[in-house]
Amino acid sequence: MNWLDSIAQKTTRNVARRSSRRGFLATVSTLLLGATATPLLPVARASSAHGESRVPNQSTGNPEDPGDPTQCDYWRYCAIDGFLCSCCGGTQNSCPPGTEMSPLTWIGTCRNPADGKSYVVSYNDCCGKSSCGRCLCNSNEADRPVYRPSANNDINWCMGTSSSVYNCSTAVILGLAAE
Amino acid sequence: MRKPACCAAHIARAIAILLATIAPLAAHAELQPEPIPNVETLKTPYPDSYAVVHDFAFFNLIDSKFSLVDIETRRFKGMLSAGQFATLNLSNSREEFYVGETIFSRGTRGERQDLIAVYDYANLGLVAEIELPPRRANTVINLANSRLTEDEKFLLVFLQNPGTSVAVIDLDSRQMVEEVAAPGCALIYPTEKSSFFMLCGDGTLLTIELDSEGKLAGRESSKPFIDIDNDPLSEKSSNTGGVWQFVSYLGEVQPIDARKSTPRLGNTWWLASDAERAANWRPAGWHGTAGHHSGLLWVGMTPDGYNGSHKDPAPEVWLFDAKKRTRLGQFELKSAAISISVTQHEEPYLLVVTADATLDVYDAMSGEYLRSIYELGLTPYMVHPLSYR
Repeated sequence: MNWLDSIAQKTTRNVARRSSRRGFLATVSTLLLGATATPLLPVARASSAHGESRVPNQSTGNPEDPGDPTQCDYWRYCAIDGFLCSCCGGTQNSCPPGTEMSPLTWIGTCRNPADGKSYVVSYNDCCGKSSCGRCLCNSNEADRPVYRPSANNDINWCMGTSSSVYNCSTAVILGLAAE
Repeated sequence: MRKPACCAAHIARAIAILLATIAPLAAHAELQPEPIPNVETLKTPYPDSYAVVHDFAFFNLIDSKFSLVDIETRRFKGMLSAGQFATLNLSNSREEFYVGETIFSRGTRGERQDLIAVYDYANLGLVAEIELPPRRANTVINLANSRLTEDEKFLLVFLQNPGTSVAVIDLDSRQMVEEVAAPGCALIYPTEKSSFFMLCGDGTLLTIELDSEGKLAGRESSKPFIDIDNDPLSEKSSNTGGVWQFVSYLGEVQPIDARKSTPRLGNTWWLASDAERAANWRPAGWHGTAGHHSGLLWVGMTPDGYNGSHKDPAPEVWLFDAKKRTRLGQFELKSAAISISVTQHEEPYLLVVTADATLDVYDAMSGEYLRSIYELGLTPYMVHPLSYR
């Protein structure tokens, strides 16, 4: 889905957030623990000597589709907004078991660093179970207001499904973008 | 010398007197049985220091909530429960809350039900449910998804699935009396009486006029005036004494005078100086504007603007006289703002829902931090002062 999750960001960490999800997750941790608690820093833990990451690393297995689909900076997620299905039992292009993929969606255009080509990416939501709550990512780079719905990521795109309850978001390649 | 007999007798007599004296007191101090059940009620009319904080419940969307708090005493007064993608409207004259919600008959599945739940101020109790078509706009919190008309006769609810329309609810009969089709247009901005306008995907504005029964009486489209591709107007606008103040992503203000049924575009102006804009000062915040009936306008600002920063939390709030188009203040916040609002007092409070999930209260004129209210849910995104319009 396409959400506001700016509550989980801090402007002082914009640069970090945009280049990785460190700033974002740190703030979510602060949020979840409450204002007076000591922030958890999952990335700090992830990079610790013990080496266990917050979620298990993944790969598409295809060198032409590089990156880790559990990370916000995976190339297809350039306009994603919501919980990553890759962290929720699905993948970057499939929904978790028992959910239903929304046929309606919003789209972005992302550049694949492997071949340097731009692809049209469809951010189909997976619906019918409550919020997955894992790997929340947000980018508003191409976002336009609600009155331009095809380019808006505040709208719950669980439409045309038997349940409009939002679970997570995928990033499905539709094809090459017209240059 | 010891005088045991003598002293023992004295002591015994003293104890007896003491017991006789305090026994009635002890009985009087004994706690009495308390009534069950026992539920609080609220005095009405509410003091104007009340506000409602909306927890979007990002991590459990089907169970969101609204917390009623006193921004002066910091007391939590009670709450309303709601389903997913809820909206809130309130009427001080009717002393009622209107909660728009989408629920499913079996939790996350089953029959979709969209409705307006009506709660009274005194009990926060459900007094009516108004059924809607199962097409309420389900978006992250947006004040323009539902609005009372200026005359408070009707509640207007934006529908989107994905075709768009507006449901008109008569607040006296508590029935939906009209559905106004509005293809290509979205959201609701009240003008005079029962009229309102919407913003459209082609950069125009659609004015809708309702008759006294809430039926469609007229519609009129403007010429395109919004540059959606290059610098769109954020839909998160605020009203300053009958003028809707829209702020673009880059920080240009477009006033829309709504004091007559046909809105009138005002002249545009910039929030920041050329030098500040060059340094990337831009508007920010999930709902980054707040308006006062006197014509004052508060806008959340970030010095770290970039393409996509328009919903980032705002570390500062700038205060403007929107009539004179002058800046009156520039306040650094204790904690960055997700959303801001302002009370309609003559000496207003600035209310800030923060990135730390608190409600922070400031003197809206001086920017002085006053107090915080904590533990209002994990993802509070919006605050509604009771004096909100």
